[in-house]
Amino acid sequence: MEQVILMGIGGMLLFAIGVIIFVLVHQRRVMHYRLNLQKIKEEQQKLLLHAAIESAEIERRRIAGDLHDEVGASLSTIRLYLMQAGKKQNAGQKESVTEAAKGILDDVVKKVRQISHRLSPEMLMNFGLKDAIQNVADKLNNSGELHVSFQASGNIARLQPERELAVYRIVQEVIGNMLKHAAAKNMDIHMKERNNRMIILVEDDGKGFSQEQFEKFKSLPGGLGLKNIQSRVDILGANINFTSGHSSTGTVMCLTVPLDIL
Amino acid sequence: MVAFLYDFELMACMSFLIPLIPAWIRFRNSPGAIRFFIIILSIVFVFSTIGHYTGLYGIRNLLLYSVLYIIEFYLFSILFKKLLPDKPSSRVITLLLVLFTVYIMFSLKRLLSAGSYDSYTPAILSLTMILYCILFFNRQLKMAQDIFIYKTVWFWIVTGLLLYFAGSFIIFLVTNYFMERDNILIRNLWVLLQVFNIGENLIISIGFLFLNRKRWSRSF
Repeated sequence: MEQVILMGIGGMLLFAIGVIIFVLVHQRRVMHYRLNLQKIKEEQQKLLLHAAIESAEIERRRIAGDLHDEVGASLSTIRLYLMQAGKKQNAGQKESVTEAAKGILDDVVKKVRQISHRLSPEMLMNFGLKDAIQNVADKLNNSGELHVSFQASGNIARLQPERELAVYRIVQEVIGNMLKHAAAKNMDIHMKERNNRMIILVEDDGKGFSQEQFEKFKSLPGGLGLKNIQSRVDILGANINFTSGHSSTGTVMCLTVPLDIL
Repeated sequence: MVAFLYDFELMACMSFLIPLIPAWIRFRNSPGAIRFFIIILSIVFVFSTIGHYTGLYGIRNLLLYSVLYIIEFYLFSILFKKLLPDKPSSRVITLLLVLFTVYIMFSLKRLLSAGSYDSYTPAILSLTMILYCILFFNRQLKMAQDIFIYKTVWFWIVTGLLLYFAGSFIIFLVTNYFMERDNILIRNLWVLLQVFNIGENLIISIGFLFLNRKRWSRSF
């Protein structure tokens, strides 16, 4: 009898030790998995940060180039014209040189406006995302290379300016990529609000681009545009998804932006 | 043999001081559950010491132990209710508290008679404590922790409790049956129980002696 009791006690102790060992081993495994996941996330964050810095640098270089090549050169020409006008004795000649300078000055004003518009789209600031994207679609239609249809269902709420700009840049980058790489003929852009979320769908009939490709290319050393998209999506707390279109050749980009984030 | 048993019992009583001294020194200002556990441990220490000395001088103390087990059940249930605030665990604890109260009400007369030792109450206590400890570990595994579980004071406390109650369950279960039939077997088992008690206190003291005071509050 004593042996049976001792076996019972031993069994209970073994059971308790088994529970403790299981807890220790399992928790260790979970912790390691979590640490690895955190490392991967940190690496991705580093890549995104690097891409953001690089992208800002490229943007600065582009603006500097625009200012130097377009505005700077035109202003130098105006200066030259005005100097010549000062030297001219004949009033008619003076007027014609001044007129020419005025014409160049008008060009400069237009170019500065263009640069300013690229930096901060006026349409977006004044009228919001719906009109700004509509404007992009109109411009693409006017180019004659692509047929773009734009549709917005219901009222589209205005977001904070920086969030609107981020959404606009994402859509711009996606459309840009579709133009550059997809060789599409038609594009549909659809905007709607549902369950306190803004949903933007961009669909083309081009070569097709999947979510796997998006994940793959954005983690490559290049792929700055895709990294910027991901970075903006993260800042917005949004979600972006790429799938093949209905004809299994095109691409559907679905961007979901939560509206309740302050 | 009886003297040997009393020596062991005294050692087991004094072993409560191993976790209690560092606990009162290092953790006395800790809020909530940890302080509550220190109070439970202190109550058990006081009861066990009184029980030991009354037994040594031939005073009948069986009622004292019966009261201790009932108090222990309620206090540990409250402690684990604090540690396991999730709904399923909380419901299990409430249900066990109700069932235990019903059991106590039905066997109150028997428990209060100073002449008989009731080992079923501590057996129920042991089984309940094993369940609480498993629920605790289950919750720990589900929770997103940023430190290893063995670096928390609670891991050592619950490990000590689990090992002690798992070891003592069978002993309590058979004590009533063999009390009148095989006194030697009961004495041997009682020595073993004291060994488990000392082991439990040593394991709990690891948490109170060696771990960072801030660690405990990471989970609770």
